[in-house]
Amino acid sequence: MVFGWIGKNLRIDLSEKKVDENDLDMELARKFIGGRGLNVKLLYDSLEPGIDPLSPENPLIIGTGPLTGTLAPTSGRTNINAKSPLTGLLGDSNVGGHFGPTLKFAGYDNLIIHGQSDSPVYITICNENVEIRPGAHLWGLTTWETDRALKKELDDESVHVAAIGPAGENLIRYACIVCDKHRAAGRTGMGAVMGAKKLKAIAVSGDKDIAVSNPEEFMKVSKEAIHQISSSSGYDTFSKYGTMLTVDSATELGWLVSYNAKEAVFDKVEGIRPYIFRKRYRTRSKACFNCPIHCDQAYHFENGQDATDGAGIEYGTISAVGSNLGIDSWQFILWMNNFSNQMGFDSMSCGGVIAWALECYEKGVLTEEEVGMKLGWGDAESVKALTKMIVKRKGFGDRLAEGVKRAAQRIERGSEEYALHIKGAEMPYEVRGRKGFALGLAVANVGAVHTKGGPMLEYGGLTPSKGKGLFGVEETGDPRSYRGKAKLVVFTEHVFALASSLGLCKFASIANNIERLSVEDYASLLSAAVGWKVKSKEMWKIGERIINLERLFMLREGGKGSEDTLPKRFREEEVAHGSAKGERIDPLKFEAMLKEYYQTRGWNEEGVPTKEKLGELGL
Amino acid sequence: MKKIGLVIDRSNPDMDCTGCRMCEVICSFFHEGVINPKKARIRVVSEQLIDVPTFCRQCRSPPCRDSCPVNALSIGQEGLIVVDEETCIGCGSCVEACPFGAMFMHTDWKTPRACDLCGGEPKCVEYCPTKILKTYNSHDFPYRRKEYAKRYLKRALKQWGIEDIISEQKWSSDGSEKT
Repeated sequence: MVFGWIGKNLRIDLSEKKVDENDLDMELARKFIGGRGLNVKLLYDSLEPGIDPLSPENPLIIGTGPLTGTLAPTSGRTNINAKSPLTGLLGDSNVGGHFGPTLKFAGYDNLIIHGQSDSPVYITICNENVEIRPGAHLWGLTTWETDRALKKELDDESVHVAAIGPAGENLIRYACIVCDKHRAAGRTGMGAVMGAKKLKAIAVSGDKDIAVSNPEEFMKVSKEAIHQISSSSGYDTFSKYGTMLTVDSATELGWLVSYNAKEAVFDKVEGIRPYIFRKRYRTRSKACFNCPIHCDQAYHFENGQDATDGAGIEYGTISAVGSNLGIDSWQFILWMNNFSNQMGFDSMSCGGVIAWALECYEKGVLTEEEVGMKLGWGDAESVKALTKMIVKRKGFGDRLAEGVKRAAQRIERGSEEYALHIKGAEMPYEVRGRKGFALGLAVANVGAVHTKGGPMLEYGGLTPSKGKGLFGVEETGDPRSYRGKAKLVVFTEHVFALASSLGLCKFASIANNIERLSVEDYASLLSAAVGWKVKSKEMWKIGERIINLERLFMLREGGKGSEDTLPKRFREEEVAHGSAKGERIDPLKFEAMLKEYYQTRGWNEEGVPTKEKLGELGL
Repeated sequence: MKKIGLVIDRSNPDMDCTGCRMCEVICSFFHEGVINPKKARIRVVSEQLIDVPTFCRQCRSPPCRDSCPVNALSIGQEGLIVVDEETCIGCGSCVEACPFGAMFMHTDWKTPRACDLCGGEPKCVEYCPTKILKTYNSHDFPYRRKEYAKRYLKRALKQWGIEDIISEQKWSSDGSEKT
C-alpha cells in the first residue's frame, strides 16, 4: 500500500482520445518526491528537445505532492509544468486552492495530458470515471462563466474546475490556468499550452481516501506545524492583508517597481496603500485547502453600474499593473485582477509588457498611429483598452500578446532597451535595492519569476547573528549588501523546490519567514506521511537534484548560463529616488556573486552542472 | 445533564470561515483514520466567496430520526444522534431529511454518520484556524448566544456608522437626554 501519495498517474491523450492510468514510479518518487520535482523529471524524460511549445508533443503535467490534500498545513498546492511558450525553456507554475487536493481525492497524483484535440474539449474526472467531452459550447467563455457552466452541466456544486479563458484560447504567450475562479497558475504561459491542446477545462471531483503511514505521528507533527505557523511573527498582519502588505515595506525599503522600473518608489503610492483596500473593499479572508494563514482577501467594488466581487489580489499584481504603469487607483487594480482571472492571463507579465509599451510611447519609439491610441503613464482607460486588445490579439495587442522579448525584437528601433525580461519572462520587479533578489531572479531556470529563488529572508527576520549562523555572513540580512547572497539564494531555491514538490505553500516555509517550517519539519511531515525515514540531509539533496535537473532542462532547450543576468537598466541606471537612492547592480560585484553561486552549486563558470555534481546527485 | 454542542461565532468581522476545510480534514482523519473530506461529519458549504460550516444541530425533534423507516435512529447522550448499526438498512432517508445536510453517507459505509462531538472535545473546534467554531454547554449556551448576538449587533452598527452615536449617548438622573 502506498501512503501519502495515491500511487496512480492519469494519462490522457487528446489526439487519440485515450485515457489510461499507470502506477506511480516509487523509485522516482523517492528521488524527486512529487509535484514540481517529479513533474520536471517526467517532462525531461518525455519531451523531445527543441519542439515547439504549442505543438501536440508538449505534454501538460499537473502534479500534486505526497502532502497535498493532507492535514499538513498549507497542503493545497499543485504544480503545473510544460515547455513554456513564453520563454521556450522550462514552464513551471504553482497554484493553490482546492484543485490539487481534489485530484488526489479522485485517486490520482499526477495528470499528464498529451496530444492535441481537433475541436474544443473538456475533461471530467470523477474517481475512475474519466471522460473527454466536447467543449465547443464553452469555447470563448471566460473562466468564471466556464466554472458556472460546468457546475450546472455536471449538476455538482462541489466540482473544482481548472480552466483557461479567451487569453489561453488565443494563445497569448503568458496565458494562465485559473483554478476555482480566483487562483491562477500564473507565470510562464501554461494556459497557452492548454489552449493549443484545445482543452478548455478540467473538472475534478472525488471521494477517495488519502492514507498516511503513521496517523498518530502525522497528526502530532501536523498540529505542531500548524501551531508553529500561526504563532510565528507577522502571522496576524499577513493573515489580514496577505502579500499586499509588501506595498508598504517596498516603499520603505525602496524597491516598489514603478514606471517600468524607471523609479524604485512610487510617487502616488498613497492611492494604493493596503489600509485603503482593507477599509473600502475587503469583504472576508479566504484560504486555500487546509491553510491556517488565509492570506487571500476577497473584495467587493463598484465598477460603473456593476458591482463586482473577486479574490486573489496579490502584491505582484498590484505592483505590475499599478505602480509599474503609474496607476494609483485601487478600482483599476481590482478590475484588472478580476479581468485577468476571467480572461486567464498573467497579470504580472501583462503589466511588464504594457509598461514597456508605455515607455516606448513616452520615448517616441512607438507612435499613436502604430498603437491605435494615445498612451500615457497613469492612464487607466487606455491600459484597459490595450489589455482588451491583447486578449483578442487585435491590432497592436497582437504584438503585445507575444511577450515583451518577442515584441521588442519585432519592433526594434531601440525598444529592446526598455524591454525588461530575464530569459524571456517579463520582469516587473525592482531589484537594485535588494541584491540577493537580483541574483535569485537572474539564475532562475524559468526566467524572471520570484517564486523560484527570490530570497525573502533578505529583508526580513535575518539578524546579523542569525545571518552569520545560517549563512556564515553577517550582512546576509542586509538587502543592499552583495555578501552572503549566493548561499542565501541556494538555500531559498532548495526550500522552495521542496515545498512545491511536497505540495506545500512557500509562505509557510522557513525561506519566507525564519520562524516557519524548516526542512527538518518537512522531513518529519514526509516521514510520518509516507512511512520512510527521511532525514533533512536527504531532503536537501532532493532539493538540489531538482534544481540541477531544471538547469539541465533549461540548457537542453537552448538556455545559456550567460543569460543569468539582469536587464541593462538595473546594471547601469542608479535609483533616483527613495531610500535605495544611488543603488544599482554593479556588474563586477554581481559577477562575483554569480561566480560564488555557481561554485556553491558545483557548476562550472558557464553555469553548467559538472559531471561530478550530476554523478553525486544521481542524474 | 450537561449538554454540549457546536456553534458558529460570527460576531467578529476579522474572523469568518475562510473555506480552508481543515475541520473536514481533521474530522475524517480523527474518525476514519484517513483524510477524505467526503467522510467528514462537518462540511463547509460554499456559495460564491462565502463559506459556512454545517454540522448536526442536535435537534429536539430530529427529522432524521423521524424519517427513519426502521426506527434505527435515536437521541442519545448529549442530544446526539445514535445510529443502531444492526437495525439500519442504509437507505439514506435521514440524509435526505436533515434540513442542515448534516447526516452523511459514503459509498464505503453501510450506515450513515453524524457528528459525535468527538466524545466531548471536538477536533474541529481545536483545529479551526479562525476559531469561529466553538462549543457550548447547557449552562452557558444562552449566555454565549447572547454574547455573540451583542457582538454581532455592534459589528452591524459599526458598518452602518452609528456605533458612536449610541455609545456616546448620555442620560441625566431624571431620565432626560443630555445634549
